[in-house]
Amino acid sequence: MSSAAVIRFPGSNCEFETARVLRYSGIDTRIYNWNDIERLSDNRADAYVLPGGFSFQDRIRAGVVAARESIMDLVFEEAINGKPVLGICNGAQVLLESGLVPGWKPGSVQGALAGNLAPGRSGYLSGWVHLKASPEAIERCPWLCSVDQESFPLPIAHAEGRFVFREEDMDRVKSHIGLKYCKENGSASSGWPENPNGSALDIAALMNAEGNVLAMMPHPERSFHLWQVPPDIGGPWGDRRRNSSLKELEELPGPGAVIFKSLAKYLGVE
Amino acid sequence: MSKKPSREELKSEVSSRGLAMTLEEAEKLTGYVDRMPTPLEFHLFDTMWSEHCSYKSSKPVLKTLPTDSPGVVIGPGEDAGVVSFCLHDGVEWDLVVAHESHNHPSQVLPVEGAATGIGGIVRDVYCMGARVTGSMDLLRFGNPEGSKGETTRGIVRGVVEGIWKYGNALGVPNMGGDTEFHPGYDDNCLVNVVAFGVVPHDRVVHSFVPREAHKEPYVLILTGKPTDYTGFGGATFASADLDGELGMGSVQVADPFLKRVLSEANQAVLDMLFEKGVKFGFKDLGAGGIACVTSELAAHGGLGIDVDLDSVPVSIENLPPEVIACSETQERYGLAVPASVADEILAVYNEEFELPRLFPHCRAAVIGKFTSKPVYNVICRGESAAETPINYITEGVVYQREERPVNSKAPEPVERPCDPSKDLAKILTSISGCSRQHIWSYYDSEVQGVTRLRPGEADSCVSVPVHGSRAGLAVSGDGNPWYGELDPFLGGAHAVGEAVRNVVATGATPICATDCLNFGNPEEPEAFWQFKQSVAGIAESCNALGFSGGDYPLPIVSGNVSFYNQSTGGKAIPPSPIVAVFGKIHDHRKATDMVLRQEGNIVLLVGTRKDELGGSLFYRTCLGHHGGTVPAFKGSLEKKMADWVLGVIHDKRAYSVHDISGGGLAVAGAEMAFASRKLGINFSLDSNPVTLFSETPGYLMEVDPRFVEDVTLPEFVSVAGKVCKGCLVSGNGWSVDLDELRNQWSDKLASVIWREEGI
Amino acid sequence: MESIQIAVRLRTPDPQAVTALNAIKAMRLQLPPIKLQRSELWDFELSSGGEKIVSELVGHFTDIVNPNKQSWFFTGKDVLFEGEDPELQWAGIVVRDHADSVSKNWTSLLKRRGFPVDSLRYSVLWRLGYLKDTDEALVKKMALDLSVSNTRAGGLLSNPVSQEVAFWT
Repeated sequence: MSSAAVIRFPGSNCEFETARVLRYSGIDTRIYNWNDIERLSDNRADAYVLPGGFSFQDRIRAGVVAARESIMDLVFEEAINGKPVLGICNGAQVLLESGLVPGWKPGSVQGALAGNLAPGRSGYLSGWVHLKASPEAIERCPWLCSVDQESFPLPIAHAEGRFVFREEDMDRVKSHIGLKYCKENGSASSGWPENPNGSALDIAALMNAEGNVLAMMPHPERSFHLWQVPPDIGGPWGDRRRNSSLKELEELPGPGAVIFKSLAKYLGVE
Repeated sequence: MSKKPSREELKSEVSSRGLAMTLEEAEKLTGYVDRMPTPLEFHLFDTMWSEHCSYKSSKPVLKTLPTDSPGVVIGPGEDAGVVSFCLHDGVEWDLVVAHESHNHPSQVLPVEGAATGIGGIVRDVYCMGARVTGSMDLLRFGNPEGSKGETTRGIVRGVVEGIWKYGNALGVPNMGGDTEFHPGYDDNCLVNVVAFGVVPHDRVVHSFVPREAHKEPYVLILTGKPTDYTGFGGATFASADLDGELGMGSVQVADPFLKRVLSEANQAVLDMLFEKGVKFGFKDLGAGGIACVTSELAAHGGLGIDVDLDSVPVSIENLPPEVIACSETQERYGLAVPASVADEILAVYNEEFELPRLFPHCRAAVIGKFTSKPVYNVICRGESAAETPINYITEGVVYQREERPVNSKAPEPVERPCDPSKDLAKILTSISGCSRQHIWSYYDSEVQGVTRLRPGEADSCVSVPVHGSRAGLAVSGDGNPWYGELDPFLGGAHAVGEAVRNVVATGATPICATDCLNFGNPEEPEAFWQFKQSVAGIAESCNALGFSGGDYPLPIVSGNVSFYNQSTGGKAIPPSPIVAVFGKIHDHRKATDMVLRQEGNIVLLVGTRKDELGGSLFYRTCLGHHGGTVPAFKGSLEKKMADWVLGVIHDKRAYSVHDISGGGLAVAGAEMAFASRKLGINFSLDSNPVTLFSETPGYLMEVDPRFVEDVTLPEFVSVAGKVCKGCLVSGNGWSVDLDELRNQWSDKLASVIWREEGI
Repeated sequence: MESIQIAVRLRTPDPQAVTALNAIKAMRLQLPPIKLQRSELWDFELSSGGEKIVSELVGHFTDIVNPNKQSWFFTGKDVLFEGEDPELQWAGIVVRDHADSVSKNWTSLLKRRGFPVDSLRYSVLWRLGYLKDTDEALVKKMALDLSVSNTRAGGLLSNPVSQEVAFWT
């Protein structure tokens, strides 16, 4: 059976629901504490997930302290070896601070998830956004290989989600785009609020060159079931949600399920 | 130990220590110990006899609240209330609920006050053994556009920041709550906090040392943040004696990061103890710190305790014993466990979860052992710091306060001009009537993946807290200060009534309630009368709105009283009973929101409109008048309406439902249209202020046209209009385009409070 | 145009500094700082009014300084930071975001409210306390080494892509 390891840092808080939806997707999943390195080392997983939360309370800046935890040496090694690694929200911040994404020179910090830039507000923002996957990601990324070209909604909840790159890297970053914020109908974002944090190139998720490591700000684990979708959302997902029967509401996947279905497909899970 | 002090000596001790206790209380304490009390004893009893811990003014009145119902597992008395919730996979699950205020700290330090408010209330739920699955903040602020607007705006921003910085990090979904603005809170905001969680019935933990401790040695483990001087009561003492440059004794410093790690470690320890079949007691540290937790764990289990303060992990050396014992350092718990398992427990905290690495001096330690001698005995640096018969500590004090009715009869406005379109637009873009979305947008309401309906989508938030079970939990908190001001009895009655309607509107059956009673100085007969009136109103409402069958009421299972809410000049806040109601929906898939579904559907009005606009949004916003006639509370009608609405929802015939409260039918309709984005309501009713804006309790419900042919509508239900295309509400001779108003409606709070536009 | 800077400090131990010092310890540097303190810096560009206006403004907005929990002062070469151990050798690193909404939003709010504020920048000042007899140039070098996280293992206090650092004098 294919397996996944969810790495819990001090202050992570999405580890349980993340592990739950991985298991629902047919993947044998265990949560490992930051100091549970030996056990993890003896039981290498087929995929690794860094869950959302506030590792070390985002102190100094989000993700930086967790990126230096010893357990990240192991994740780093597995990522370089091509194992699928996903960072969700705080996990994405850890991946950026680890230099795994964009990862032109693994271990070098070449991007940032900086504080949200939005008109007239600062700090945390939660809500639902619309997203679209890039063709490169659908082709290359084990976390996005089952996604189609249509836009889909996911929830966000973060204070530091703005992808920032050096001016000279803006060109080469384009081929690393996993997901982009977009309008409800899939057309390009025209800024706030479609792009909720001022992220460069409207990037919501970024991968390494190989595509096996994905840093995404939205929370697919919170939108795994159709019943988790807000009733007032626009687009086809909103219609599906509002018009579903009781049975459908319970059984149909939500828009976030595709991330984990992608992994299951990649790992060959039936 | 010294001999019995004179009255003069006592008086000077009480004042030099900055104690709140009266001289009479100090004499009572002296009588207990038969000598001059030690500093630790003074501070311990000062806390235990405080209004907050002893309910000394409120206790006789609180006894009149209904607390008994078949589902109640633990009523008021422990850290949180417990009711049975659902059966899933052969496991009986209980719901744990707690409700508290953090008003005064939030006025002074909004960020820290609101943060420690959440911190304290979730600890109350955790320590019953539960996983916390939600929290909610019920906020009352002054007028952000008024004479003290600047202070108020800073407080609102700070409180919201404190809630998100702390609550989001904890990983507990925030279920929104409500926010009201009233100039009566200009000098004294209210930050009421609710938390709830679920626990298997056979894993409910009590906050006292178990009976087994009479037979085998039990010890007390203190775990969490190292003790410092934060939150140490007497402000005078803190700055003078303790820390010179840092006069911060009275501030509580919250640390959600430690709290999160600690919660997971606690869960691992509890799992281990249950696996071993070991009986234990568990309690969080709140007011009175170590002194309270050690004495209460022991006393309520019928034992005494020896506490060794030298074993307490501290972050600052040489703190006086009374500070170590009574400081209110956050993020700490006490565990009463058999001595034989203590080492294993310490290893979970200190090694598996590495507390000492995460925060300097943070660790779990054994700090005391329970004894059969009923004495509270504390040693510090080899000397006795307290030696008190333990039953006195928890005995408490009670006062009979005087009451004097306040004549609040106010006149109705002489004329009531009404231009429906203009008036509705005015209400929707006012501070009182606009959307609270901006506040909720700072909250994480989806962590844990259990959220079914978020703030703003329905009348109450709904979650699915037991994984795999279809049981949904709906929660709402309410309390209208404008009603409380005009009529404290009705303020109490409607607080329950509206929260019940909000829960019912989603299809959930109310199973229990909690209350937080915020009033002025109970030593003032007028304020005490208001308190009694509101409690009577809550009681009447709860007695009328029981859903457990028979004569059972809606039980109040937990709560809190907050007195002395007043301005520096002594003017009390409006009587503010705030009530949270918890409801259960057997099948969460039937949970109903307020999003209109289909053009041509019928909108029903449940609850006939009455001319009772006192305190209404219409009077306040459009006429600049408060009026006098608050909506009457009709318990049996409320119950009938609720039963009918629940029946329609369970039959799957209601498409959307929204309760009618602030702003009346017109505002309720507009809120449904806002939520629906592309649909609205065309009302076929008279366009007079009573029909459109009266706040008589009721509901709007969307059904399909066949429904009104199939079903005989009860006398309190009538057809109000139809669902129409476009985000608008209209009626005879009026129409409001809500797309045009949406920005102002949704952005008003941000514009006034966060951006200070037009100030 | 006048430039005025104030520093704001928590009166209680700052949990961010506690965590940062912990993280630095874990880096096993040869000469780590022994103490670490964190302050917030607010840089005002004013068209008039000077320190008087800044004092007034600080009194208006508890978001910037809440006297119940924070102390503040005008920074200047001669001012000793409250609570800093004079026995140690202190170095300061200022970290600021290239773009941040806190600075932007406060600038427009203050302008809107009629304060003669042209702009305002928010940044964080880390004060690192080294053993007393350490060579001054070495202290500066070590502080700078800690200031930028160019790699996962090196540096700590700022992100090289989204933030800028300066030595604080």
